[in-house]
Amino acid sequence: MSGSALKLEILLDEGRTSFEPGARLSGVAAWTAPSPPRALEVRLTWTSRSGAGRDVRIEQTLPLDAPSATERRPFAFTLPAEPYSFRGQLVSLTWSVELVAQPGDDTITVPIVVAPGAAPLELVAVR
Amino acid sequence: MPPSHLAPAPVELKPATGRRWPEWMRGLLARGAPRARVVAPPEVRLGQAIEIEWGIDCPAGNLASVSVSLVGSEVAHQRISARTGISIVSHTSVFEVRELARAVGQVGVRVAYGRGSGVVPARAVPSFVARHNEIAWAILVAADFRAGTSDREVPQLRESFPLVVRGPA
Repeated sequence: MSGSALKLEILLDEGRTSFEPGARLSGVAAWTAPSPPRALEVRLTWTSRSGAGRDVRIEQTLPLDAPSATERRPFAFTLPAEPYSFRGQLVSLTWSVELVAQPGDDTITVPIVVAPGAAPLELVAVR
Repeated sequence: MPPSHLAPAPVELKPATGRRWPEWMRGLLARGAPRARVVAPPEVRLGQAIEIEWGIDCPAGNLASVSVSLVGSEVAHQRISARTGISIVSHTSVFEVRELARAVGQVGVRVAYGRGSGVVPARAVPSFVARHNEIAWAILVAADFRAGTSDREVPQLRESFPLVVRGPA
């Protein structure tokens, strides 16, 4: 299966991409391939970045069992309470929902925000 | 089991180990070196009240002033590879300082102590730790000392006592 023939899509319900911690996130994972992918899964991940490096953590994984070649499959996560999305002077942290297909690790990523007020916190240096 | 909105019982917090160990040992063993202690809940929540007790052992009896604050910091741990091995340099940016206590020392008093209180900010980032990046919270004790009659350098004390800040209950 070539990566170019595979089409992946994530549609979040109501087009929402910003959430309160602990909220429910739901949507539909859709894919089109010449033949059924061997495996597909939806991942909820966060990434922290700074000049020192990047840390990635997969918080939750939903395997999509026995996928057909073309399909739309609903999914839902309950978002964790922490960590929050934030932008600081040195470090930032972002969340995303990913649809990953095997073989080949083809991936589509939708960035989301998980923070109180559904907006990333801005950290300002105080000294 | 206590309700989840209550902070755990206060304990004596351990000082941060960020200092290199020879420096830490010298500080520990030095005659007359002042040392700080903090008793506080090891874990608090955003928006929650916090009460602490602080103390400074000051054998020289020359404490001038002390302030105790809750401090939140971004920390980026940069790994630097060299032929001699890997060293880690930590870069820090402080985003929150809340003073919990302030006091003036009295000449000749060898043990100073007191209480402090405040509120953990409601809109801030909870603690998190990853390999490269971290949000760190701590109680910082900063003390100044009166100069003596000798030519010895007047010490300053900045001791940090990490604690964990969680999101609201």
